[in-house]
Amino acid sequence: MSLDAIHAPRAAAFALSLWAWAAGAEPIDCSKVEPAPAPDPAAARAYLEVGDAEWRQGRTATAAVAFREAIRLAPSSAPARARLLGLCRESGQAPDEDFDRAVRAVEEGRYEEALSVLGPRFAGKDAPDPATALLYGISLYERGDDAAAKRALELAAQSPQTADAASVFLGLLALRSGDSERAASMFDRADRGAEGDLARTARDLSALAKRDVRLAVSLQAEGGYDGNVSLYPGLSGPGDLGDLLFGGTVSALLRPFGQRGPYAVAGGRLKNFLTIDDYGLAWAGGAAGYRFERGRNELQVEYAYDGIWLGFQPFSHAHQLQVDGALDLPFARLGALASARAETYLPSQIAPPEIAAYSGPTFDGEASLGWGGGTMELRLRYRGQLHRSQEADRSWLDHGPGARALVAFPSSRLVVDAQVIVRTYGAEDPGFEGMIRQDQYLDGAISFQQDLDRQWSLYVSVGGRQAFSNVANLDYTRLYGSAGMIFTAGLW
Amino acid sequence: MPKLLTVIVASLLASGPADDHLLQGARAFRAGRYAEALVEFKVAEKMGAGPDARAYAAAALVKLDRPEEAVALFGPKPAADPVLEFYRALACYQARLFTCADKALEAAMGRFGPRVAEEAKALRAQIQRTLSGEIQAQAVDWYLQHGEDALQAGQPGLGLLYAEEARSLGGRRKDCHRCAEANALQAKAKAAAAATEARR
Repeated sequence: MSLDAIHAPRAAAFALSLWAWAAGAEPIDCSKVEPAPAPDPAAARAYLEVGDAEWRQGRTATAAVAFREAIRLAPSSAPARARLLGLCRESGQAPDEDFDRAVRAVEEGRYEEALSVLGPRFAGKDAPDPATALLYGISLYERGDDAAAKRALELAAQSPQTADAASVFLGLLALRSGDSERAASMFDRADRGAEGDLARTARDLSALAKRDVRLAVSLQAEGGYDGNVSLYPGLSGPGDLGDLLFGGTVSALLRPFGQRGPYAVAGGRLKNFLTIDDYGLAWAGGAAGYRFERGRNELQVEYAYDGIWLGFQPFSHAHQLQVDGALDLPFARLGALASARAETYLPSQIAPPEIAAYSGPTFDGEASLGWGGGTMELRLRYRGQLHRSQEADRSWLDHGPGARALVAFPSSRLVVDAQVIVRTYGAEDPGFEGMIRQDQYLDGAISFQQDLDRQWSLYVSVGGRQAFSNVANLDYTRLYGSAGMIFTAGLW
Repeated sequence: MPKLLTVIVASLLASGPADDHLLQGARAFRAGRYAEALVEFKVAEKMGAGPDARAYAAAALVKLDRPEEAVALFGPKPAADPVLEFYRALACYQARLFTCADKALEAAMGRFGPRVAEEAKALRAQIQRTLSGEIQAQAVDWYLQHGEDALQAGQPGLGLLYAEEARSLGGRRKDCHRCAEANALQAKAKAAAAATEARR
């Protein structure tokens, strides 16, 4: 499960939690309380106790009746006045400019401002009202101050008016710390208590949390068709016939501390064609990295090693270092990636000796802007790649824009991806009449994944590439499609 | 239900510190200010008005459409006063505890005045119509779930009533749907209720 998938619904959950307070509020009499002719502190204490009991059950109107009577009989009762004021503020009947400002700040993502407004209230002598505790907790969560956020949200969770929204964010905190079991339990609690969209959000998060584990293995079986099998570097020109393909993938993920901290992945893939034996592909690789997070901002560093076998003979191996991250800006989510990869190609009975000339470093870079989250997401990117091989005419520089759109349904996802690449090779190629080869690629892919239950899902994917080149006969079209089953099991 | 006021006023013959609150509660009840009535009855109970105040508060909860709390507050024993017993039956009915409501009405039918008797008769007819249809398995599941929830919330009396309703409805089906579970829940609720009572 990606971090985006977890973070995405938080804004909706927050907005809806505010809606839930208003929707659930009962009418409250917030007019001035006239003192009784003779004070009666003993009776006032009884009213206060009755009011507190009603308030704990979320019966705000009845609680307000009791608090008003407590104030009437003991006009100097600060607890009764504070509680009535809190109820009136929650019902929107008492002006509270600071609180309104904090609400606006949170809604607009200005969490530092919200914290500066809410901080003194939260740290005040009296226990903070639940709405303040909730907003303060959400702001701390978004800033990445998880320990303090947990304290505030646990306070908010004690009040029926804010318990459901607080449970959602406590679940998100648990998920961020790697405790998916507790996260699922918090989301389930919010689902049981809340109504409408907040309940739906909690339900979706619960399903995700139950899939989020520290050690997972995944098996995938696929079958499909590749309309242009021979595109592996240097083996042959385009135009070979297509073929049916079948294969499988196995992978494992270990992240002992949850989404933050160290992680390791390893996997292998086999892909065979029904009639073209030489292009049977095997891939095996592993990576280890560390993920840093602060609020929604994240940074990941990773080392990876992988090898490819073609026709059961070694074809290439590579070491790679990669750094990628994302930063929340006021208007979009900014992403960036940089990687360096040392590739070595190996001649064999299938790959000709000149394949070794492709060996060399490859550098990738990408910048992206994203919008949305939760059920819909759009990301626009610009990527580039520089490959330096032992011979200049086999080196290249390419770059181009791309886009990715995701639509998520309760148990399925649809992803559409498109990319334009303009590639220029590094020198004239004697094999192409001394021309410097220049290619343009248009790539597109659509994939749909449907979860069948917590462990099984089904996917269908189709895609294609249209290649144009200034070298005659290097234009080609490739269409491919595959479908398969994925089994994922969490072992820890 | 003006008779409730009469009942309360009659109970105030022996005046005490809590009686003003009972009287204020009764006035608020008659005026339809049920939240205020509930608060006054609860304050009266805190100030020593005894179990009557609790039953009046339960009647106010019925009017406030909080039937489960009302059922829990009324407790398992029938109210001595037939009007309060009618409110207990109403609380059971609103909480979908049809068997509980029917039993309460049946037991108190001879003690109701003419107007309440008419209402009680109509309510019993409604209950019979509800129970005469086919009992869905999901309905039994619902009662069992509510019983478990009530037990977990520390309300064994309410949990027991839901368990009894689940057993009664399950028993009306040919497959006696989840009857064993309902029996087990009843036993659990009874034990919890006894433990709660012992603590008091």
